[in-house]
Amino acid sequence: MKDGFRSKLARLRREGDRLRSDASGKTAAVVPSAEDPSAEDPSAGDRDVGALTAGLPSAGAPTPGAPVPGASGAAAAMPASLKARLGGRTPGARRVPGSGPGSRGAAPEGGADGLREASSAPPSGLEEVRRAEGSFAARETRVDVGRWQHGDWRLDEVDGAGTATIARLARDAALVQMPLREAVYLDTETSGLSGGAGVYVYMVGLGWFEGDEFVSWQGFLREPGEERAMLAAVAERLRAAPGMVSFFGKSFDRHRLEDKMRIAGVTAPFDGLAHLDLYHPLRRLTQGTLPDGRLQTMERELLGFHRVDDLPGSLAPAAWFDFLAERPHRLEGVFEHNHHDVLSLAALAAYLGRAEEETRLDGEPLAGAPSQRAVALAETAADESEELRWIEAAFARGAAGEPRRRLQVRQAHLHRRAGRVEAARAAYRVALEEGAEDRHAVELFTGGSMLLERQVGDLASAHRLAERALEAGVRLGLTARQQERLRDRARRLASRRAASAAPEAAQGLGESE
Amino acid sequence: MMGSSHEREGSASVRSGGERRARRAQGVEAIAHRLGTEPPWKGRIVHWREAAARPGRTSPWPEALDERLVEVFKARGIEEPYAHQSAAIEAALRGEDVLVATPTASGKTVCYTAPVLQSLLESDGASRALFLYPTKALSQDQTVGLTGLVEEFVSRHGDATGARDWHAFTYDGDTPPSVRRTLRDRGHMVLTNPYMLHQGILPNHAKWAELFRDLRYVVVDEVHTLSGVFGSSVANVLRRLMRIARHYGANPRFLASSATVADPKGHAERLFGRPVTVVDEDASPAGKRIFGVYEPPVVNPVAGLRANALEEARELAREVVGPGHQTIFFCGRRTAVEVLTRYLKETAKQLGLKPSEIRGYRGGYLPDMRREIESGLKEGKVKVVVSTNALELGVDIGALDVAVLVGYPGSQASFWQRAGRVGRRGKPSLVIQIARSEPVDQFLVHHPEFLFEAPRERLGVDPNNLVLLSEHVKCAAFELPFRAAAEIAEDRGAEDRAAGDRAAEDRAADDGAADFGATEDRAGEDGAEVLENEAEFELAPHVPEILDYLADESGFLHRRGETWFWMADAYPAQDVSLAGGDIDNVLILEQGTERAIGETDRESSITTVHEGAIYQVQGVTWRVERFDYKNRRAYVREVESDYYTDAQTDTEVRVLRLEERSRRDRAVARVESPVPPEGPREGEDYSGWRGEVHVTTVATLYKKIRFYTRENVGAGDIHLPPEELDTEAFVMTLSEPTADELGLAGGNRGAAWRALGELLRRVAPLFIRCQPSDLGLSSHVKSPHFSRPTLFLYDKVQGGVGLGELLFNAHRDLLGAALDVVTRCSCPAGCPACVGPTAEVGPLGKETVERLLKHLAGGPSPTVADVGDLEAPAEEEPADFGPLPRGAATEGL
Repeated sequence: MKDGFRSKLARLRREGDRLRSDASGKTAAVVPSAEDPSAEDPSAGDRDVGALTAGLPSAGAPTPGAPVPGASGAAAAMPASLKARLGGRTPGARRVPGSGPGSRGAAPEGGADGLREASSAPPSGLEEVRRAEGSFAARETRVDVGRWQHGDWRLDEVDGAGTATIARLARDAALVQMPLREAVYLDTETSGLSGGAGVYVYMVGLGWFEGDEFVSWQGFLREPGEERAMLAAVAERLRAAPGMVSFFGKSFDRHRLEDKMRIAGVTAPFDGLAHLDLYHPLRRLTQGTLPDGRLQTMERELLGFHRVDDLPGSLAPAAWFDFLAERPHRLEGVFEHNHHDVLSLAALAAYLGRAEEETRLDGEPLAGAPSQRAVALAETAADESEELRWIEAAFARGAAGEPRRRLQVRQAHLHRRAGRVEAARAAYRVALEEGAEDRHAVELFTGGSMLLERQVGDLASAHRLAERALEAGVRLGLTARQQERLRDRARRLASRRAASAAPEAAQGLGESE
Repeated sequence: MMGSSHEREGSASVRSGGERRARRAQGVEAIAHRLGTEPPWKGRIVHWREAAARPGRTSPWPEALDERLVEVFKARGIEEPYAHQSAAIEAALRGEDVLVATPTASGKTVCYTAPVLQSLLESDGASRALFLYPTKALSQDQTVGLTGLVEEFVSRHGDATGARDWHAFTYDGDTPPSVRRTLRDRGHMVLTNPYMLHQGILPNHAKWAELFRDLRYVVVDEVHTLSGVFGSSVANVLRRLMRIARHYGANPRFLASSATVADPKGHAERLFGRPVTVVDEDASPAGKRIFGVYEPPVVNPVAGLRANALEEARELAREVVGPGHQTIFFCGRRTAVEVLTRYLKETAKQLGLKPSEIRGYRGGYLPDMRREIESGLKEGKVKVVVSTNALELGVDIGALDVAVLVGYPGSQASFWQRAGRVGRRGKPSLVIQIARSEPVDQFLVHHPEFLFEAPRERLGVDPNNLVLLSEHVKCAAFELPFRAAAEIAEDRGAEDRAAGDRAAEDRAADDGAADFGATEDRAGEDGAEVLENEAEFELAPHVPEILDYLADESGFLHRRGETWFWMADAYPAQDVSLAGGDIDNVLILEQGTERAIGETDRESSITTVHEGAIYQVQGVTWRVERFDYKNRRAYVREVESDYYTDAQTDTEVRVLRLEERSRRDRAVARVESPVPPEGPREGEDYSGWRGEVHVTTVATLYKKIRFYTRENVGAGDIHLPPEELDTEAFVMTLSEPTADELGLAGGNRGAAWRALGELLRRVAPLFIRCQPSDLGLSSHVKSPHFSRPTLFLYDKVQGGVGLGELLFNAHRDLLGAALDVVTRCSCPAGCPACVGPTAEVGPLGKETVERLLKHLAGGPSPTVADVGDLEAPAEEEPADFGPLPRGAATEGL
């Protein structure tokens, strides 16, 4: 019976679970034979450092929805012989043959890749936390805020940050009331990125200021059953704070925690809690000037913080799975990665709060592209005069490309609406001379046409621009409805023009035909 | 047969002019009368049956039902409920799980809306209900109905009760993300389908915590559709649902409805895993119902060829269609629907109708078009509708007058659902069943009592099917950790069932209190109720073993003491299909504009939207210009086509594993043979087998068939990748000596052997709930695996539903029924009604098949035997395709 049963179950393997079948093949290859001579050859792994790191998935901001287990990408890029050697370098490395999904175990072991060694020991510095709901473990690291250099920054620079600046760039008025000294900084590590009830938030890094120190507290599940106790502790800490700071947390961390809290019957603290998600305002400040929007890129470019031997976040699930299965694991790397993430949150918040001053407290200029900063400040300005000021600053600083076009439309529009006819004409002319083909051109032609019709009284030119707006609209494939609106306008101007017996004004905008 | 006093309102002479006026005057009874008395119909309707009109039986509204609700139902025209409605509501209000198993249009909706609304009233709007419908169309329909009911209530008692905030929402793939959140938090009544529950709601139950916390009722509509692999999967989805509801402290009750089926109680209890109160005495009034079984005339006596059923339906339309009443035609296949719709539209004028009053209806139409046809039917604007089984379910189209079933739908349940589409309150209705040349249909011509008197089919549902169970255990483990199941398994192994149940109860109680403590405050209050819930997933056999397997071998789970935790970066529900399709549909787009024309399921796409295929919608023909198989899109261009296409497929079956065998010895089976027996009577006679097979299907070519004449006007090749299927099969092998003795030899032996298989396939629905099209057939005179004559009848669903096993157990009954078909058939040497026309099976075909069947169905039954040395799969050899299944490509046409 038993055999028949097992063999029946084995059918499941056929049912197209690629992850599983892939992994079982590969993992088997990783199992080192006890007699494998290469297992004792330390140089064997070192030679292949380049090959290995090249195949590693790069660390990154969490991208929810990516279902691929962290390590399978790495595993795929590795020849089996290499895996066998790497597996052999760690004494006592044993795997269960055919054990499961790629996230398990296919991760490279040993320090040969320049990453932290895998270890069989439990993570260091863990203290048990006992609560009514049960117990879990946490590690606490205290940082002297006046001394600790996070790249070029010190954490006490949060004191110089303007919460109004932060609120403005994050487009969230509630953040004005959230002093960075009292906020909680949050970053999580999870067992997967797919979402859903089966994902564990196995590590929650929280940071807060306590006098001269910044406390980095890392709650950790030694086993999945400790979840409820840890979630309760996290909820309690967050509830006591005036707000929280995260990176991409509005899209990821918050939902993972909220879901798990609901399942565990812990009241979630997020509703009504101020939440600064640094991703969006920092993106606004750096759009187009950095290779990507990942936390590691931001901290490197804006703070000058360079990580050494960082464990890619995508390997975090595998690290925990290995730990639970009592295999050598790389949790130490996850703790450090998470700790650095939390410190970066505080420093980046300080950076963000200086964006309007554009200098640090000591008068040093902020890192990052000043032109894009002006664009961001223009686009988040509270009133029109400030907006115009920043638009001009952006142009003066050489803002280019798409943001520049956006601001041109905006500038012309603001002048026209304020009745500054000449300034508006100039703005439209400059913008249209710079480009009459892109999608902004439709708006520029239309705006210019309105200006000429209503404020200049030049119907002929107004009509001509309306026609050009329509042409551009058709060429760019605007929706039928939008095109219809452009057509109506052109039609109306044509009939007005015909109706008015007045001689056509000779001058239009002055742009060449 | 008819009441003779009835006046003949529409005589032939009147009908020649002023069609519309003349036809308007016809009544259903007049039509039936004419069919029963006038040639040529008279001789073709071989069986008439009448069910007398029956008055409705009402009961007072249950006392427990809130008076304000009674008032609302009264305002909506239900002065007093039918006895079955009253009984069902009463049982629900007593807190029982209830199934109402009565025919279409008997007022089942009230049976669950009343208790649901009552629970909202009693809880001050806190309680929640989840409604599951088999199709999107149904849930849309019911959302409108519920909302109307709530509005009615609000207009009377809105202020005092807070009913203004009661909302009914449809949640399906079309629900915009922006609405989803509101719906999750504020939807009192969420109407969805099993797919969404499986892949969307359950894996993300935290987002639905508001719903689960106060979940009072789970309404499951049309549970007779939940059979086979689909039903077994849904049963497991429901186990997962109950697990999660319990986690949030709720213990919902099931309120279900079903068509009339055999043993509704057993079916519902297997599905829900709990005792269910069944209400199945239909007390709604019914008008007189007239049934006729129609046998198409023999058009070629020599070949034994009867007229095509679809052609007959077109003929019959002259009599049964008119402007004064509504007629529905049911066809088996989508192509047939389109062809008949086209025919009828083209003759609309002679029928006294406008073409726009004649509509087709089938799955694959876009929702807007379906809505439009449905309301056209309800309002009486559409006079004729030609449909597939899409209108078999409870989509609200009002009651019609005449139903014509082109071919037996494959099960009694379907027959009665279709028949139930006609019959307005207090008015007579007519149902005509046209028999095709298929053996089942012919069987019914000779045994009409089968339709009316035979016990209904049982619905096969097996929630403990190992494969399905394992997959859903995997999904369930993702949703919540599994606890302490091993102990139960040990108890169960050691003690009797009662002891196991006690352990389960302990565990259930424990679960209520221990599961993350989330349910602490409620455990006391609901504790007693939790105890009677036997539907624990963990009680299904093998669950602990499955969990261990998933932990040790697959590595998806992490076991910690007596708890299994999900421990992988994956989303299992994504990889588990409910076998009902719905996911991989192929979209059909107009080339150039990308406008959607329709959709089709993946399986049929290779034969319906391959390049060159003619795709029909409402009589309009489109040619498929490009089929992007990988991205599931077919691009079509409208063309004037005088032909339609019909594709053929080739199928190869390979044995993977044999699991069971029953074998008969030659010593006990006397052969009545023209060939004198030689040698000693020893060794094997025949064997039945059950096992796993791998099936490869590839579409090979298509034929162009002219409308009306059905002549073949061309053909083309199809180049598409094969569809692969791992499934279960029933296999029958005949030993070489027996085959020789029975005369299974000579040039036509392959055809005769195949004809036997075809017969079995066609009579299978008489014994197990399936359609012939659910079964695949492959026949070999010398199978590469068995080296002897072999028939494979396999389950056409990935993984298998267990039809193989049912066939294995019932194969002697099938053989008997097949023999009955052949011996009763009056043709001299084979016809489509039995073994196939002589031209196909050869002059000795019928004789051979009859002899084989007599031998196989007669004598002692085979006995259990070792699977034996044949178990090891033989070397792969080129497959013997044999001729195509007769009629498989034109079935229903």
